[in-house]
Amino acid sequence: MNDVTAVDVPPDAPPAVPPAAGLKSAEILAAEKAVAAIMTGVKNFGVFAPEHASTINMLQGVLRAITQYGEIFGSLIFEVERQSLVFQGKPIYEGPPGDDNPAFVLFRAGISRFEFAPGLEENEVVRFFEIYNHYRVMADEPDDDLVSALWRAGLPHIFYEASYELWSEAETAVDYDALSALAPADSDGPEVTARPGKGWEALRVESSSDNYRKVSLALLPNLNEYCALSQAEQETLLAMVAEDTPAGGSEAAVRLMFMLLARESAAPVHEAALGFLQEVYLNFLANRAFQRAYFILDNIRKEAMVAKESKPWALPAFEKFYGVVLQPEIIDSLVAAWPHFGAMGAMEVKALGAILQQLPAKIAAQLVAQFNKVEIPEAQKLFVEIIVQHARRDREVLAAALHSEVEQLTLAMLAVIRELNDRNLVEQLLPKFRYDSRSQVRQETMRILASHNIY
Amino acid sequence: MEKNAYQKMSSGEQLLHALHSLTNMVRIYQGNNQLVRNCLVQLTESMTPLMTGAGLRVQLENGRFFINEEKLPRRRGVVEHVLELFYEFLTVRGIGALQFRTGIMTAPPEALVGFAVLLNECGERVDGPDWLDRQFRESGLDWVSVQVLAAGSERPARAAGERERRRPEPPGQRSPRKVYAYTLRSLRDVAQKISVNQRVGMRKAVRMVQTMVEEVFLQEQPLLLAMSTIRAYDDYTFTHSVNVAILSLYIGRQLGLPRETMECLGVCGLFHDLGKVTLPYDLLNKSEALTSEESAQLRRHSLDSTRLIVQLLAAPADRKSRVMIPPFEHHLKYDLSGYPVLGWTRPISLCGRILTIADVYDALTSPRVYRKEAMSADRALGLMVQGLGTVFDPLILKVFIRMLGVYPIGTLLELDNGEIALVSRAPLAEDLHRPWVVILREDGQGGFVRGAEVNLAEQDRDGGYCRRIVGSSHPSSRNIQPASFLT
Repeated sequence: MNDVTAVDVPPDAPPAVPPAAGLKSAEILAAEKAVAAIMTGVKNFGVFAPEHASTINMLQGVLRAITQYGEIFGSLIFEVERQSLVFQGKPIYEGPPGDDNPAFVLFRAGISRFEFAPGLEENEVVRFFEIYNHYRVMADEPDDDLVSALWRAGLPHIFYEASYELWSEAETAVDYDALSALAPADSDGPEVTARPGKGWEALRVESSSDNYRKVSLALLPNLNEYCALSQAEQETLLAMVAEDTPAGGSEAAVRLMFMLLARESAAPVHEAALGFLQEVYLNFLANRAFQRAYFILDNIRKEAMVAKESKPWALPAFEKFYGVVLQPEIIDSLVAAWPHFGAMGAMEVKALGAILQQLPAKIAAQLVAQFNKVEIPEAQKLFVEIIVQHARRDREVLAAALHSEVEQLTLAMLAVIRELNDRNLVEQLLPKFRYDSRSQVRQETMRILASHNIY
Repeated sequence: MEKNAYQKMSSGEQLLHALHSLTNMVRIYQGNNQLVRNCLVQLTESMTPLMTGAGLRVQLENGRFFINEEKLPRRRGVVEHVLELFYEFLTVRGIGALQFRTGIMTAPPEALVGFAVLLNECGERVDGPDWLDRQFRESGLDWVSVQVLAAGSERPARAAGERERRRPEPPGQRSPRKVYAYTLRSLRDVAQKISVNQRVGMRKAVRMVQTMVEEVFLQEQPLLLAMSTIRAYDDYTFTHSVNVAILSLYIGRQLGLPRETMECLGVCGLFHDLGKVTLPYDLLNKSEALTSEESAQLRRHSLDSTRLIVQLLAAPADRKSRVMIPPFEHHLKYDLSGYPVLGWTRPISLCGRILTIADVYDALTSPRVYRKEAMSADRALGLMVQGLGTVFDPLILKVFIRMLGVYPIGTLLELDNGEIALVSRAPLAEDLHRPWVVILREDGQGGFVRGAEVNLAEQDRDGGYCRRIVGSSHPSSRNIQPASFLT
């Protein structure tokens, strides 16, 4: 029979020793792997498009590493220091302070501890990287920061500890016992009635009078019953909350800005109001809310006319507005809306058309150049109508559209020329079209020339 | 400065307190601001009993202050906390001693302000004390000199290699006093920059509002609501704005508003009176009746708040939209009969309706220069009920009253057994007349100490109430700051 003893251990052999110092535990190795994946993610997120294979692989790698850690060891928690991330008391990532060091970026935001909890999902990782990227470089007077953005995002498996003590305690402490709730002693004197006028400030307070005593809520009969909320009232409150939306705020704000433009007579106010409206207008365009965008554009046009008449100091602010909203990229974004033509409501289409018609003639020339990108027949029809409107007013647009490679446009311009019935125009623009390769164009040209006795 | 508390301090403590207050005030206000001037008066008054022919010396050693070579006794409480902060303020700047000469007693206010400003600024200098001394000489402030901090006089540093492990307070357990103080600071910072027409980010204010939202949601007791009873006569505008933000958030919680709306509501509360920043101090604190021009100027403040938010806040348009509307609306009234009169026909937004209630309630219960006595909270609510449907959204006001009870937190009550008490917690909805209260006992020095907390709904064996309310008044009538006893 064979001896199945695996090892013959001499009786005086030393006891088995633990792994040599420097060998890491499985937990630390897993944490390092996860942190390394996260660091790769923060550096590379946004380099490629979201649907690019590199981005997809990177995100999956991050999620996999964190999930693998979490399945065995639970939440991945590390402390945040100025230049390093610390795991179980030892640095797991270190680098020089600066915007390229994720530890520094988190530290600067006031975060002292960061946690990825089990159950983390890919959309949370994406959102975290988006927020991190956005706030990696801090502006001079930031509106918010990484912590407030994370707070707003409310990611269910990402936690952090952040201090709210954004100044030194020495500089911020309030001596509450020293605050005086009293008026100065020399205000003793005749009863002072409150300011005249409407509103609750205009309250006469006579502490010794019976009227004052009678005001107390305690004297209201059946108060408990009065204050009970009925079922209907509770439902009304729920509806009230549900109906309160950010979009409502935008519309009210836009109207308020036009009130400011109408009432205020200081250039900085106009600049600020128009700057705000410009941003809202561009947001509306980006979201294809063309009716709302048109409302802004049309009312600004009216205000600009008023400014021309009576507020010349405000004109630079309007010029600045148009300088931004008429940039080629903006027009491109309008053209980019055409593929979604079929999904847009009739009112939105009408509003888009109205916006394009409001734009200056030079923009129409851009439309001409973009025409061949518009494939849907209904959209093409509307586009032609808009170009025709502009062409009637502007010779340059007319000439540009006339020379378009798109036959539909050329024919439409020929119709405009016929309508305008201007011999000089005909003489200038048409002769070469006798030889145009497109037969319909040639024929229409000959007809117009003939009508002016030009042969 | 509240008389009793100040008088309880020794002369040395009064001096250090005054120096600490002055260095804080000049960071926030211009030199000609009344609050700064008050600090200057306190400073020179506190120096009078301590000034000798050789001058007055303030020295730091081993964590303790020495005034004219005499060690200042350590005392527990708020005074010690303030002194610790001032000690830290000086040691961070490497200052070991301040030597004042008799000339300071006749120094003009501008010179004293300049001294405090330089004291703040030297914190940014590597060679702080030397730089400071040079600046004093060059500015003609020859009545003060500094000495460098001696080795060993600092607080013990951390051991080499020891990592900083200061964990922030967890949400729901944060100090309400600190949260209030930091929120006040965030608002002051914004207002200060706006007053000099400087563009300003909302970052810190937003962070403090988010912190407050968490505390409103998570605190077991409404400690932050207790802080909203703070009444600072000399600092009304800012404390009022913080109070309105807190009250609005608690209403929002009752309504079940989502987090993002709560954040917007808090920011609106904080900034609703931003337009007053540009109004003259004398107008805001005028005791006589306003002229019609002054009244019109004051009524512009809601439109000015909007204008300032648009002009000077560095926020994207969607956030500005949500923040600018409620401040614009807060004096329009529920039925749109208020001001500004611009032909505004849109219904008041939800946040606007909440803000109106919080704003009026805090204003009515605050002592103001043109109102001899502030209203007690139960009377303020009784008056507000008369505005249901006209000034106030009736449902939201009902929610507000349910939340606070007849005698809201901070109301001073007289009980049938002769005790006086502060309302500390709202009552149950079934009986809004009987809140929880903290009994106040006289301390024999003109002030009060906190006694037991009792529930006025408690009944004796015969089914009667153990204690009954016979009267209510505003805590300022006895110079009481409720927050001191409730947090």
